[in-house]
Amino acid sequence: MITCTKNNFGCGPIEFQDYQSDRLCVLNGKFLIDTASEEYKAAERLEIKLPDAFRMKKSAVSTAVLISSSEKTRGTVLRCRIDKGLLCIEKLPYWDEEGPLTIVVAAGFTVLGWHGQFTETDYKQATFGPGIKASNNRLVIKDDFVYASIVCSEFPSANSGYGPFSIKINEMPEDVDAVVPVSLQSGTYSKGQVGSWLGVARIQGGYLSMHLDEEASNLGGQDSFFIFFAPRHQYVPRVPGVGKVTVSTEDITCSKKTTVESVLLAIGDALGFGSMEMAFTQVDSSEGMSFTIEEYPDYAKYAMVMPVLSRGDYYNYEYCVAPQEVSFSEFNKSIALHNMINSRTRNTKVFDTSLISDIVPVNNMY
Amino acid sequence: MKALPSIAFNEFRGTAGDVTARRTGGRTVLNGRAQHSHIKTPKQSERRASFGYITKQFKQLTAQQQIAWQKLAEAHRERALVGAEGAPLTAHNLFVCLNANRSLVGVPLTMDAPEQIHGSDAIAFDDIWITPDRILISGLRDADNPNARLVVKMSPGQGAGISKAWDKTVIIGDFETSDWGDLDLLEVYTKSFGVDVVPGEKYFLELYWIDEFSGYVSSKTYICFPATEGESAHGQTYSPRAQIKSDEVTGGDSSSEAISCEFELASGSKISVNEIEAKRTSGYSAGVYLKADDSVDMNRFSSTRSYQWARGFEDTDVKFGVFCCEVYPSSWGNTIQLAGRGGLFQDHFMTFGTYMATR
Repeated sequence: MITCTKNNFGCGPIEFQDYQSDRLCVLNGKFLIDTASEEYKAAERLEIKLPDAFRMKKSAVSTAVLISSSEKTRGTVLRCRIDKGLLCIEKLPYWDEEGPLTIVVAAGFTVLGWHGQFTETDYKQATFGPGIKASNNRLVIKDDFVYASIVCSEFPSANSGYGPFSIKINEMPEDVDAVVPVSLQSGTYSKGQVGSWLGVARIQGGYLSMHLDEEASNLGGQDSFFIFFAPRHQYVPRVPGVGKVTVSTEDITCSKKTTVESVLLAIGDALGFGSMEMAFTQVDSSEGMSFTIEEYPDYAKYAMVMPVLSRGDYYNYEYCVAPQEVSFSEFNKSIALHNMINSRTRNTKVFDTSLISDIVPVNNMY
Repeated sequence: MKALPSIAFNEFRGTAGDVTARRTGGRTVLNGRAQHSHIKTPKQSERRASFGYITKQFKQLTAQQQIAWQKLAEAHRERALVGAEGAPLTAHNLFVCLNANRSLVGVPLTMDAPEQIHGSDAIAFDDIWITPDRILISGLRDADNPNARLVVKMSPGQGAGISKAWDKTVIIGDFETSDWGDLDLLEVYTKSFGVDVVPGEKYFLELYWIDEFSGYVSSKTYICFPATEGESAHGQTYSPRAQIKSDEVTGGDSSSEAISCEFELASGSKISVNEIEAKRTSGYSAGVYLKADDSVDMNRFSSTRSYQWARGFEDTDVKFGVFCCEVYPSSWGNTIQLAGRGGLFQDHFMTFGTYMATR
């Protein structure tokens, strides 16, 4: 981790996770810009002084991502490079009235002038838990950093009621703890709109976590994509634990597209059982739902997954049964229910007891 | 040239024609008479003229300015300064030395002593080629001092047996920075000496960073290396950078326009670095394709594919809208394909950045 104490746009100290070598440096972090500040207004480009000991003083062009505070968090990608020990980011004024601006740097910085031979870059095709499928898929795992470029054929969408979610990237090293800019602009747009819809995800412990605005339309979904570099050796998973939590309806928050009538959730005991009783109404529950609880249990880990059965109705069909997966997001402090077969029910009930996979190893249902 | 004593030349001393004889260690040694090369580069002329001018300017200093120079000289008496090595450093020779160096890199003379003078960085580089086709230093590290400029002195080719010819070096150029570690000296060498590099002949180079404001130099690097037919000092065959430049690229068909394209592969495990602006002028396909000149060796880029951030301009449907652009150069027809793969493809777009390149 490096801390940059000086910049020319009036921001406080900025922290980046870092990996440094002679020919490649990786920076990962984000910061907020107050567009009303005099320093920002006066700046022609955004400059952040890197620590004197930072290995690379000059780099070729790289990227940063600007996300405004507009209704649909529109923004764009910016040029970014290291020049004379400064991290320099292009300034575009089009969202200055929609501040504060979030700038995400999740990029690699390299030098040119290579006269040697080249070797092929090994990569994996990432696979995901329920909710994400990739059409173009590159995951490069090095000893000290990871790189991914993933275009999604399936991605959580606000249309489907997604609020907070955490989805496993099976091949992602668990020691990555990084911010990831995500393009959420699918096929729908307004001609002349300024910038695309963007968001920030967090990858932690092998899970991609994000919070979509449930009230938005067409946010996320197919064609969402993310490209990022991130250093490794940043995240230490918490020690597994067991406990018990009972959630009453008053303690939970979920999308307005979802109405929760009742929740009773008990997770974990010495045998690793969990039980859930829940009733909720959704326009369409084909993808699932999620909710945050007032006090997230400190032992509830990403890896705790509990398969349950649900029963519901959809217009003329009644008693439709679907396998669901209950999962936990440490980052979002949320609990999600994911419909494994994307079947449709509106009034849905869950009343099941099951094993929690992180406490007692079980095979996932899928 | 040396000769053994002979009856004819014993006790011979003095010069006859181009030969000079002298006695040393009881033997007579003959030397060929040195011939002045009469090579005087424009930079040399300029430097010799400015040296006299600078010396005269010292007399114009006010008493206060002289004191400041004197204090600076005292503070740096222990350090080696160009032109003053081994000599007690006085206000005068420090004034002349620093201002002569400033004039060398085109900075006007200063009457005021600089507040401080920073030590210059040592020269560090990876390899050097001196061949008939190129004089190239690669992997040259920039100086830490942002005000430093690189000065290169070089000799013309010398006989293979010559071990010292530093006095024959002349300044062939000074440089603010290198081209990502590459310093191509062939053109400035040829301009300075008007002759080609000859394999087998020995070349002497002197390099140093100079602080362009203070004119201070504290470290010099000397390189003596015989030219080869093609190999570097480390025995490496020269591999050109995997690089495509804007003037080597055009639109690949009637609906594709190349506006600019700078493309390079960096590092051993392929990293693609590029900055490309292109336009689809007609049609509905989510992509454009560009054509590189036949002179570009696209085999260096084979199996290179990167998925990149791209953005539109003000004239596109979504102003500055982003999409994922797949960029893959191909030796098949020397093309660079750019295709939208996620998000909304924009007709007029740019893609840029640093990405891991894979198959």
